[in-house]
Amino acid sequence: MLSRTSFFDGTIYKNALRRRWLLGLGYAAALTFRLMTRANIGMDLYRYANMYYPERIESIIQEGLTSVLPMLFAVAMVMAAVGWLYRSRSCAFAASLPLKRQAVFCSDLLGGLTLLLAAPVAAAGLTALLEGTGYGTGMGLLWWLGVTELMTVAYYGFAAFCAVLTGHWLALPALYFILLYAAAALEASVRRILQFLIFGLGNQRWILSFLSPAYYLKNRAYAFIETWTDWQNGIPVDWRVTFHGWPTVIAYAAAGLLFGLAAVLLLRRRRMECAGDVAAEPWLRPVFRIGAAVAASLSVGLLTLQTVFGYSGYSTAAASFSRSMILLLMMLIGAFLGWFCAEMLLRKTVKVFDRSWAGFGILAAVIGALVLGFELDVFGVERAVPDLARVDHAEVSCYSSNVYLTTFSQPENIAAVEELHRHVAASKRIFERENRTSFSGGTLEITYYDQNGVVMTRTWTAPGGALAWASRGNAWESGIWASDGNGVWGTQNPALKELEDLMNTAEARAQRNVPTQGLELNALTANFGSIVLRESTLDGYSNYTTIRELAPDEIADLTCNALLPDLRDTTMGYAKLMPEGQITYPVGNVSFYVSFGSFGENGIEDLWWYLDTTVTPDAARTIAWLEKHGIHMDADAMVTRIDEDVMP
Amino acid sequence: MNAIELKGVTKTFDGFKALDKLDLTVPKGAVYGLVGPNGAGKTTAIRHMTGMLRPDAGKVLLLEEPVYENVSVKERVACIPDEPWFFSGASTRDMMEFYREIYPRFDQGRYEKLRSAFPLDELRPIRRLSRGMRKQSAFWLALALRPEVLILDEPVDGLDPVMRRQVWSLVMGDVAENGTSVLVSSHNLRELEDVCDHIGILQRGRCLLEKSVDDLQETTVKFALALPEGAALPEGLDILHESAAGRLRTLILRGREEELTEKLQSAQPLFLEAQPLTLEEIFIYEMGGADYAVKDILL
Repeated sequence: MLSRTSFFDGTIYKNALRRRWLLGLGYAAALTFRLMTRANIGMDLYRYANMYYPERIESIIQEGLTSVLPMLFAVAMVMAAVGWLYRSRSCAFAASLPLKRQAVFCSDLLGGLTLLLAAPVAAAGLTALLEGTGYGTGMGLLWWLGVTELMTVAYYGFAAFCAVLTGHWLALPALYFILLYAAAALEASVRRILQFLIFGLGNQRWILSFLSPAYYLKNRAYAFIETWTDWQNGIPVDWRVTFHGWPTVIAYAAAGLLFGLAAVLLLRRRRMECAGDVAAEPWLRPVFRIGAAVAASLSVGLLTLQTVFGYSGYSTAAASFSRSMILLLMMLIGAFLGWFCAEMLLRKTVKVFDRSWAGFGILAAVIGALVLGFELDVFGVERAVPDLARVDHAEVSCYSSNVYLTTFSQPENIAAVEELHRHVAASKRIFERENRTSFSGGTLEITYYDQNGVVMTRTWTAPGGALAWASRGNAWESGIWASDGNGVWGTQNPALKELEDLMNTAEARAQRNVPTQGLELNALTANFGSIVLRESTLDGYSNYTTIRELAPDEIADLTCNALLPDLRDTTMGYAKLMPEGQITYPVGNVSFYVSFGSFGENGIEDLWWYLDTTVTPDAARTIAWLEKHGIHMDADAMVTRIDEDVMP
Repeated sequence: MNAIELKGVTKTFDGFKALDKLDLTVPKGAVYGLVGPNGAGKTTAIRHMTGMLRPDAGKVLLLEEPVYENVSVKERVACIPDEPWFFSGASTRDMMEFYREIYPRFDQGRYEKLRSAFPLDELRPIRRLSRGMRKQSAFWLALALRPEVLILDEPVDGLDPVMRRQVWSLVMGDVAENGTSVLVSSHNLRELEDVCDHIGILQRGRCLLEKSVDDLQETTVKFALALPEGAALPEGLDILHESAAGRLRTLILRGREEELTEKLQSAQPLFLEAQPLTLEEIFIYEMGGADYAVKDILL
């Protein structure tokens, strides 16, 4: 029958405190050192310059989020607290005591946890004592304390869980760190290899990284500072620091407690004779073997991508079949090494080649099937296009920048996006012939959304040269391949023409160019502005630039009576594809950049609006305004002739 | 009542059967010698008795109760393993203070009395003591627990002869005064001969033989005899061993001395004498023909 004393014994607890206080002290000292240095608390500059309050608080919280100390000391303390599990002699000693084994385990762990939880309190208290609690320090320390304590619980519980999975003291920290980073590492590795194999897979949303708290907290949780500044004297008058990471940190701590509970349950059925073994439970042995083989396979695969093929990721690779087979071979070699090294550790001998081949054979077959399946698109990932009826809207982004991101909601345009998708996917072999794997050239990314969020994202990176463009007449007319990969120039690529057409649909132009409401009002009150005129060569590069300053009444007239009406009618703002494969919006031989704003009382320019576009023959009101002000444009050739007295 | 009872205990480690349906019984108040060569399964059996290991099959009872995770039983049991384990840096005093709080039966007075028997610096970290002194420290602490069952694994390894005698004297004192049951494991039979009243022989995870020493000695007799020319040994003798030097023959016979003497007299021997048998001889002749590595437990 279980009772309170089945899980706790005061003597063991006190013994744990007495024997491990030094580790707790070390933790407190390390935390204090970090607080006093990394967070810059001790610097007088920060003490007396009140404008740094929020930064100080943010810095202290960030220290709590990014510090590896809770992670390191948690596993160190667990190793010290329940290290008796790993030696048969100490195991026998603990088992012979007139206590339930979980009472010894829990009491030892609680003793260690007490010391670990006391350390941040001591560190925060000492810091407050030395530095005071003013200037935002007190608030920052409280937040830091909360984050650090919760993450200490999280890591400690997880370390305790790892402790019962293994029977070897060296295997514990190895397992702990591997598992802590396994999710993020696995996701990154698989993603990178799939990007190599699957044409167009591109970057996908991270879905497992939250399982790697150290990685997740460092990259996803942060404190956010809002500051309100008195512009009269440039000094912040109010500020607020918001930390959005509490739910995450609390969830991690709760997970830590659950892991601790699982550790106790596992301990109750632990076979004590496993002391000294890598895997403490029989069912862990195949898991360990497979895990090691998969990890080694992915690692060798990644190494091959980076060293043999020079593939760094972040782009579509369009790997040829032969390259994919080289990758497969290397991954199988990695799996072989991982599998049999794991077997050596499990069996504590190097003579492991007498058996285990069947298991390895099955794993190798699975890896081979997956690599081949993805390379040959057996699973249809490359060809997959979402059901048109389910797509709410689609985003098209060129040159991997949101600056050129366009959202399409009209059904005919979404259908055009899907058609573009199909054509690009069908161009896989052309991309493969280029045989490039590194990021160069242009990138096209399409993301489909349904009512619930992201449906699918596909990204294609054109290898350098493959996406070269040439303009014929009006530049937006068509795009062509510079080369088909065999030195044949001028091959037509309908996919790229479709892309350009998409960018020049009314929906895209309106979205891209039509400014927000209230611009007219701003234009009426602007007191500085200018036009920058550029004449460009056919390849889109500017070779001549002139600037004309605008008077306030000219700003209002040009904006309200010419530019805005033309933009709203979508008679301006066409896009064309550039030789590098990127898309650019000032289309045509003459483009101009117009901007206006107002001078603040301190004389600083406050830019309110700017437009960088091409004057097209359809933009009648703008052309008329320019003509009226001495800038003459040939509507056919779109070249400028500027009256000499117009420009300064 | 039995102090220790193992019934059909089987334990396998990675396919290796360390205990194979082991049956073993230590009567209450007995001093039981568990003998067997290295690898016979003695330590594994002891680890079952102390509750460290859970058997794959069978039962392990101490003081008539299952010992595994049984706090009330473990309170009454003390064990000194081959290599005793102590907290790192702990002195004998530290360990005493720990045991005093953990074991309800810990006898502080007994601990103080035993100080004179063990000439140790009780404040010195145990890991800095010699192997023999660590063993003394373990005995000091174990005897202060006032255990009902004392389990000793190779207990006097590392002790000098004087200390061996001292330790056995203390243990036997407990047996005599308190009825303590003792199980002593050893791979050396001669060491156990003087102290054990019961013997069990372990080989390959099985108990080959388990008897009281009295039984063994009463039922195995060595005779030296010389028969007249042409005379034969009587029928129906259970001869464990026979050797001859000239006309003088040495027989090791299974049976009671009086009955065997009567039987041999019927052959009208010229000379007949029953001679005392050592445990060593008994085991040699009991086990010698059975393809067991008996020599391993006699050396």
